[in-house]
Amino acid sequence: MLSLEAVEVGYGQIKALKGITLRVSDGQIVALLGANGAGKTTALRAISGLLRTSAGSISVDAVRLDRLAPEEIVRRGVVQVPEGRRVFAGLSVLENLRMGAYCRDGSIADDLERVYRYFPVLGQRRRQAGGSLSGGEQQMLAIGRALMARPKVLLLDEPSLGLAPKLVAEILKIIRTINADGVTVLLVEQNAYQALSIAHYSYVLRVGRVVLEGTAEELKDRNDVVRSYLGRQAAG
Amino acid sequence: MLAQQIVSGLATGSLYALTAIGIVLIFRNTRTINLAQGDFSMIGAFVALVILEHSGGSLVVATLVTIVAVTALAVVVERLIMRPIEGSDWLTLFTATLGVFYILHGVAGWIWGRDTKSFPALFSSAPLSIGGTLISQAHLFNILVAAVVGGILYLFFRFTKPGIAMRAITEDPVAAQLMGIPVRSIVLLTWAVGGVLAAISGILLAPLVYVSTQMMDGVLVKGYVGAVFGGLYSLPGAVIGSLIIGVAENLAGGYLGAQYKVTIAFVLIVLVLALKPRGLFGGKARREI
Ligand SMILES: Nc1ncnc2c1ncn2[C@@H]1O[C@H](COP(=O)(O)OP(=O)(O)OP(=O)(O)O)[C@@H](O)[C@H]1O
Ligand SMILES: [Mg+2]
Repeated sequence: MLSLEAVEVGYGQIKALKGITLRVSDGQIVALLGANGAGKTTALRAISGLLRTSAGSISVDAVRLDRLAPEEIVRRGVVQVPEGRRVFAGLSVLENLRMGAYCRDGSIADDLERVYRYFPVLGQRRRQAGGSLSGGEQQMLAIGRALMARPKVLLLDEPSLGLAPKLVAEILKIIRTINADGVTVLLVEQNAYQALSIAHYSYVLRVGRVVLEGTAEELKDRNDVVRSYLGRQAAG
Repeated sequence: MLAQQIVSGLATGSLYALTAIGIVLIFRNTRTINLAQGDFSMIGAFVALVILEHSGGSLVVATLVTIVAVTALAVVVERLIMRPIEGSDWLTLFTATLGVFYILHGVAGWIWGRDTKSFPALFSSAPLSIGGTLISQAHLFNILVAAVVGGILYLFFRFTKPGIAMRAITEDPVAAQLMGIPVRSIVLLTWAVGGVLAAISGILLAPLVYVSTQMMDGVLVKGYVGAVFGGLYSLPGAVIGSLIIGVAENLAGGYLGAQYKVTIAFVLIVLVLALKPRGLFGGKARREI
């Protein structure tokens, strides 16, 4: 289980997270929702060790993460697919995937096979530069690259951003499959409707605080509330 | 005559290339323009000289010890001076290496004195005749060594995990961290590779010039200019830029007069910056950190 307890994170004087508590139980998909600037990316960056917390704690299976270096957090099975995909544009697809497995020794053949099974297009393009892929393919590569680390918990920051609706549906379907194969998922989205459709439990952030949480059904029943926090179009 | 000028230009250019590659490698992973790259070679030349005197003239021993010593020096510079200011703006980083430049000049002068010292020639001065062109053995050796070093680096960046990780950090250091790449260790390794390159170029240059605290000053400038040809980013660009400078200055020296040798490097750099500011092989947008 990944848990955040009263976590505070600031950029200089500005507090972007003002004490948020959330739990991601093993085997679940948990959605973290919120409008622009709510602090979703900040939360993921803190979990991955890119930002330091000023208060509170972050832990996975009772191991504190919040003072570890990013690579140590990856080694403990918490891996992020960052906002904007950030594939290594000048590296080939295969090299990108190899970098995903950086923290692991030994053969990566089985993992490559698994990633190519989820995303056959990556197998076909393995020699192509990451930057030459389409937006949707780059998102697949970003997810595949993270899977190469064999994550226990996968953090996804707006994987649907900028993708055509058909691709969004496809990505969500694959996230569900990855979860069914045993990976716990923390999914950050602005597009609440899409995220709620696959999440077991959700949190809604607003300017650095959790203002609402519940199962997808509970939040869907309170669509009006979700809508008021997320903005109209976001709730679909 | 022309062929000879070109070959010896390529030989000089390959020495510039070793410096240029060191500068590019460190710059593209740390945004540091390392002015001390030449001094690493200069210290290396002095170390090699000392070891040669104490090892009964074994070049192999001197080379190995020098590589280890200069690599250690580069690592120490990274850990003690550059790491504490990592993430600073480029001017701060640049100024720190300027400090290292003067410190190393001073330390070398203090230990080994201000006089120039001669380094034993590695080859006889009788030139080889290849297809009617007379080529100095030392020049040929320099070109060969630089080519082998280039080949090894190519394989390193293409096939090894740390080599690919270095390229990944160049592309996007934050994404590299998120993939579990230990960015600091890889940056340290980058400085170490810079040290190895500097040691090799110091030993190759030493027999051609006198060993002194200033022996590398000109090479540093030309290596930097070579690196700018590749936009301080592209390794093939830096190599080709360095070779162009080596050949151009040899031709200028041969046909116009020795005083034009240095000028030509700067004429070239002004041309490159005016025509292609990102370097001849640039044009590729880089993600800012
Ligand atoms: N590097 C930074 N320096 C200063 N403030 C920042 C920085 N990054 C984010 N912020 C601020 O922190 C707050 C939270 O930003 P964050 O990026 O976490 O939001 P988000 O929920 O991910 O938004 P979006 O949906 O637009 O990605 C915002 O007010 C933002 O302006
Ligand atoms: Mg965000």
